[in-house]
Amino acid sequence: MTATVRPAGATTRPAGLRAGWLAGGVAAVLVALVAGLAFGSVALPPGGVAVELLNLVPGVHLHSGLTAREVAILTELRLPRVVLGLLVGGLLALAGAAYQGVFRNPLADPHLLGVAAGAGLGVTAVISLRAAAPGDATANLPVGVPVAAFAGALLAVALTWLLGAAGGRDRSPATLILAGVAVSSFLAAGQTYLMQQHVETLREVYSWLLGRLATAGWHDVLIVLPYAVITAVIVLAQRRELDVLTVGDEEATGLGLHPQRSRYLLIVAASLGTAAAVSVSGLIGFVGIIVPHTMRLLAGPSYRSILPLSVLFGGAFLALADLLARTAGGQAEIPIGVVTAFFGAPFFIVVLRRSRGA
Amino acid sequence: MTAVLARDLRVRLDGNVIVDGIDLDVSRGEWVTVIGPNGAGKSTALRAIGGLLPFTGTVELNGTSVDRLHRRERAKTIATVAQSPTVPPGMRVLDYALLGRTPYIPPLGRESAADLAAVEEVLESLDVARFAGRRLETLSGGERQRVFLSRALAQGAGILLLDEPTSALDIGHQQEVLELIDRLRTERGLTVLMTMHDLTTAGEYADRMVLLAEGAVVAAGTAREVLTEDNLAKHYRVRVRVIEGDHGPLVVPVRG
Repeated sequence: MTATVRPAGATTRPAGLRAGWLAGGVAAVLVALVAGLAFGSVALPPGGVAVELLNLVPGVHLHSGLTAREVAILTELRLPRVVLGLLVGGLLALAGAAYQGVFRNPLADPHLLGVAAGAGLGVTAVISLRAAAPGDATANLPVGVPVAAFAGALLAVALTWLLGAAGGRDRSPATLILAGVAVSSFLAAGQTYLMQQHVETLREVYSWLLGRLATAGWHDVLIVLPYAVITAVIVLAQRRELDVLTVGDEEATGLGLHPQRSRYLLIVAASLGTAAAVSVSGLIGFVGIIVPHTMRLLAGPSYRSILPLSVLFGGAFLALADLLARTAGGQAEIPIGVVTAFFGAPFFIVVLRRSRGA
Repeated sequence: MTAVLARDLRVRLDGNVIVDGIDLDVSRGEWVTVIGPNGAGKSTALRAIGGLLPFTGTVELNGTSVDRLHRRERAKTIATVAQSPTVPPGMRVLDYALLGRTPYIPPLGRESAADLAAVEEVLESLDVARFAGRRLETLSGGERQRVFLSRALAQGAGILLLDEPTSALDIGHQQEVLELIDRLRTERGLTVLMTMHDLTTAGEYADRMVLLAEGAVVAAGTAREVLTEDNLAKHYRVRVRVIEGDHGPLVVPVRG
């Protein structure tokens, strides 16, 4: 038998999550975790921080060299804040990637679709109505907040979808975003009305609107965790379906899929994740655009890599953005939404130009 | 054995009747080409048979009603290539062809070595394996058409529905693609049902032809039976000369 040249096809591997990228994502999370814990108004040695993190593993008792006060700062103040940043960033990036796949629209993002505004209206309603009701108003958000945020988020995404569909079959990516802007404005008006009616809660609502990572405690982490797990499981389970949906609904149907069912499932899951993130952290924009697009550029167009990498890099991005927010402005913290917008707005323009050129 | 059977097939789109009660039979291994003027309902009928549009009437694939086939089973039985398939941005040829294995991959699962082997065999057979790592948008029209076909063949379906597979190609590439389809049909025992605008070429390759006009079958049979000057004048509203060629009638439009 004569030797044959190995065809190029045999050396090309199918799209999917490469081990190198996964390791990179885990490393980014670890770097963000240690940096987020070590730096701040009181600097802690990164080595001691890493040892204390290991001490959180049951059965491990190592000497970190940190004082009891430093350990308290680490575990009670900074750790919940950094963990919440990782969770919220991961959720917003995952939701953004899922929306982009579902709507086949590179500009889709929890904020641009109006989902965050819907969740915000839900949260404002709960804060305002709770203040109106007799009883104590604790510093922690009530557990019902994510549910109200979820209802608002679903209402918003449904409205945006319907309004975007009114443009007919020839709708462009921009049509859906215009619909999202209109829905956001409408829901924001509702939110303003509620705030006007309950001026006694203005301060609480505003502090939440500017981002609540500043007051994060383990309570917030526990509120968001179950929603984060549900969202991540559902969206990640649909990662191959999202790849198939890129060829269009009709061809996806021909390939044996139920595109509409996958789409509804993903929208509900992404909206749930957005609602959970918004309910504990306020309105933090652009994470859902910046992170998935960067992953797409670096690791390729398959959702099998974009989705898991968005979770990891989205979490790391927001934890680091929060570090910048609390250290760059001197004594006063910069709201984290300002930091993400600072990076996100120029990025959005680049994505818009690319999508119009495509 | 009948591979595709349609009885009283009707399709309404946005309230308009597009396909108005057609009957169609395609035997296993046969090549049937549906022709007709623009708006006759060719593509719509094809999409309905492929299970991509809601319809009334009966469609049976290999003797089983499509209503009784699960989506995945249907995708293993019949594969459709649309007239202008969507080219997903950035997707590589191998990944696109692998989408054809979707009906074989369980929910939450991933491609097996067997899926990969099946796709590599198809890519080799269509002479596109050397493009496996290239992005679809970098390929020429003819190469891209072969990649679309490879995705359909990867489905492992015995029935191939092709909607205007050569409309975007020059005559050289048209012939190349049609010869390729004919070879695959023989090698793999495929049944081919397609739509086409080029009447002469359609007649040269098809075993039988079906002429649709205003959603109904107005002529059916061999190319010689369907491609008559009268039929074409009546339904295309055009003056043509039909000349006997080596592989079937040659249709030449003449100025009226």
